[in-house]
Amino acid sequence: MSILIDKSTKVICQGFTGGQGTFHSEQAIAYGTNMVGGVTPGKGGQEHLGLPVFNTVKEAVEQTGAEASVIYVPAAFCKDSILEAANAGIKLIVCITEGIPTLDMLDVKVKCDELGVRLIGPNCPGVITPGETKIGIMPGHIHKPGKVGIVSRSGTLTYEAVKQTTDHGFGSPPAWASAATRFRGPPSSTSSRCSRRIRRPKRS
Amino acid sequence: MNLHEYQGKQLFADYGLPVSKGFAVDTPEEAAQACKKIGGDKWVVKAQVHAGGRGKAGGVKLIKSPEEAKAFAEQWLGKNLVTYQTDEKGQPVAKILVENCTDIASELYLGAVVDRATRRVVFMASTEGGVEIEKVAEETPEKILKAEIDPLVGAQPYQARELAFQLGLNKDQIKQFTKIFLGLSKLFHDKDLALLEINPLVITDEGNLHCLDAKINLDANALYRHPDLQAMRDPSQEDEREAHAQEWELNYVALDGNIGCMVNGAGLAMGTMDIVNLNGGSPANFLDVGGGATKERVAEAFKIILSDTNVKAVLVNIFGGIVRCDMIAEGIIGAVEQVGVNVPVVVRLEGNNAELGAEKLASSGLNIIAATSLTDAAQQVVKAAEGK
Repeated sequence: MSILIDKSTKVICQGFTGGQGTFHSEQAIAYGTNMVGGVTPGKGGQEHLGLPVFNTVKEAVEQTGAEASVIYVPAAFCKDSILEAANAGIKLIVCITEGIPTLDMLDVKVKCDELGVRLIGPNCPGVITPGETKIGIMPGHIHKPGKVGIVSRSGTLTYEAVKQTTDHGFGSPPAWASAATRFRGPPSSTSSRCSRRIRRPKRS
Repeated sequence: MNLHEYQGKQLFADYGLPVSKGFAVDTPEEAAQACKKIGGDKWVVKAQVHAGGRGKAGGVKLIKSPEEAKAFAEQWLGKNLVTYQTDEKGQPVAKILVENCTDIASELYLGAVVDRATRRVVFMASTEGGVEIEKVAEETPEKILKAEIDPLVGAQPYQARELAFQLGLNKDQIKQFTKIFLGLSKLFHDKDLALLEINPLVITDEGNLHCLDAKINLDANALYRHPDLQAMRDPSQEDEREAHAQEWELNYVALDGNIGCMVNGAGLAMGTMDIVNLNGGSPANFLDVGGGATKERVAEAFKIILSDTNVKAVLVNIFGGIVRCDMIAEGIIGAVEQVGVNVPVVVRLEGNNAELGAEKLASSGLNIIAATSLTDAAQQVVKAAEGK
C-alpha cells in the first residue's frame, strides 16, 4: 500500500548531475522509481543517466509532468531550490541535504504551507513505498512490503525500526523519515493524516 | 556556537542598542587603564566565560578604583570560573570586561529563540529580570510574555508596544523598548542567531532602558555566510574533545558514564544510549559519526572516545544504509591497532555488507566482541564494562 508515493509518481532530481544526485538517482532508477529527469542550471538540454536535464524546475514540470522532486544540492542553496520546486507546482518535495540554516527553513515552511506543498526533510533519508518506489537515500533491500507504516525523525533509526519490524515478519511499508534537525519537517497533521491512512484497510 | 558577553555587546552597539561603555582586556594593567579611559568613580568588572551564573560565582564585581580592577583581573585571568552552568572544572577566563557602572531601578528580561512548535522566532519578555528565567517559566509561566515573529514580514512595532504595555513601561520607555525590540529582531535575522538573551534589561535611575548583559548563540549551520562571526569563536570555551570532534564533522557530547558509544546517525545514537541505559549501563558520550561515515572518521571517533579515561568498554553500533560495513570494520581495526585499546569493544554491524564486516573483525585477532542485535550489543557491553 502506498501513501505519499507509488510506482507511477513522476520524480525529478534537483542537483541531478552532481555526485550525490547521480549516485542516488542511479539507485532509485534501479529500484524502479519513475524518474523522469533532473535539474542542473546551465546543463539544460543534456542527457544524464538516460534522462533529460533541464535548466529550471519549471521547464522540467512543463515537459515531464513531474509531481515530486528530490533535492541533493548543497545546504547553502537549498532554500532557493525548495522554493523553486514549490513555485513550479511540485507538490511533494523531499530534501535530503543536512545543515541548512534554520532561518532559511522558517521562510521555506511558510511558503510551502501557503502553496499546499508537502515538504519531507530537510536532513532526512526520504520516502519509500517498498517494492514500488523510493525517493531518497535509504537502502532499498531492507524494506519489505508488509503491514506496518513507519514515520521517523531519524535516518538510521528508521532503518533499525524497519529491520526489527521486518525481522518479526511484519514488513514495513511505507516508511519515511524526516528532519533530524532543529525543527520538524512535515506538519504533525501530515503524519497523523498518513497514520490514519495506514490504519485504514486497503482500498484496491 | 556561543559568543562572549563583550562580543554580544559589540553587536548590540552595531545595531544601535543601549549598552554600557566598556573595554574587554587581557591584562591587569589594561583593566586599570580601562577604568581611567571610561571615567567616573564606579565600574563593573566581569569575567568573560561562556556560562551564566557568573555573579553568584564571584565572576562579576562592582569596584570603586582602578586598583580594584587590576586586583580582580589578577585574581581571574588564567583561572577557571565555576558556575552552576559549568562542569566542576569551570571555564577558563582569558578576558575581563570593564564597564561603567549603571544605576539600576528595576530589572526586566528580554530574549528571543527559534521556537520549534510555532516554527517562528519568538520573543519573550518578563518583569522578572535578573534571575534565572528558567525558574520564572516553571513557577510563574504567566509572567513570561511572548511575541511571534512572522518570517515573511518580520518584527512589527505593534508587537513591541503590546509587550511594553504589559511590562508596565511609560511612554518614553515604550519608544526605547520598540527600538530595542526591532533592533534585536534585525540582528537575529541578519546574523542567523539561534538564541538571544538580555538578562537583565534594566531600567536605570533616570528611567532609561539599558542592556546590561548579552547572551548570543549562533546557528552553526549558517556560519559559512558570516565570516565576521566565525572570527569570534573562542575554542578555549569548548570541551577539547567536542572541538576536536567538530573538526572531523563528528557530533560528540561528553557524558558522565563509562560506556563509550559510536553510532551512525543521531537518532540511532540516542536510541542506542537508551538501550544501554535500559540494560543498566551508563553512556560515557553521545557520538554520531554521521550517516555517511568514512574509515578515517571512524578511526578519529575511536580516538576521541578512548581519550576519555572513564571509558571501561566501547559499543560500536553501525547500521549501514549506503555506507559499507566492511569499510567501517576496517576503520575500527585500523583505529584499535593505531591507538592501542585496553578496554573491551562490542561491535554490532548491520545492513550493507554486514557479514563481510563481521568476518573482517573476527579474523583481525583483536579483542572485539561481535553482537547480533542492538539488545544483544547493549547487554554485552554493560557486562564488559562491569568487568564480567
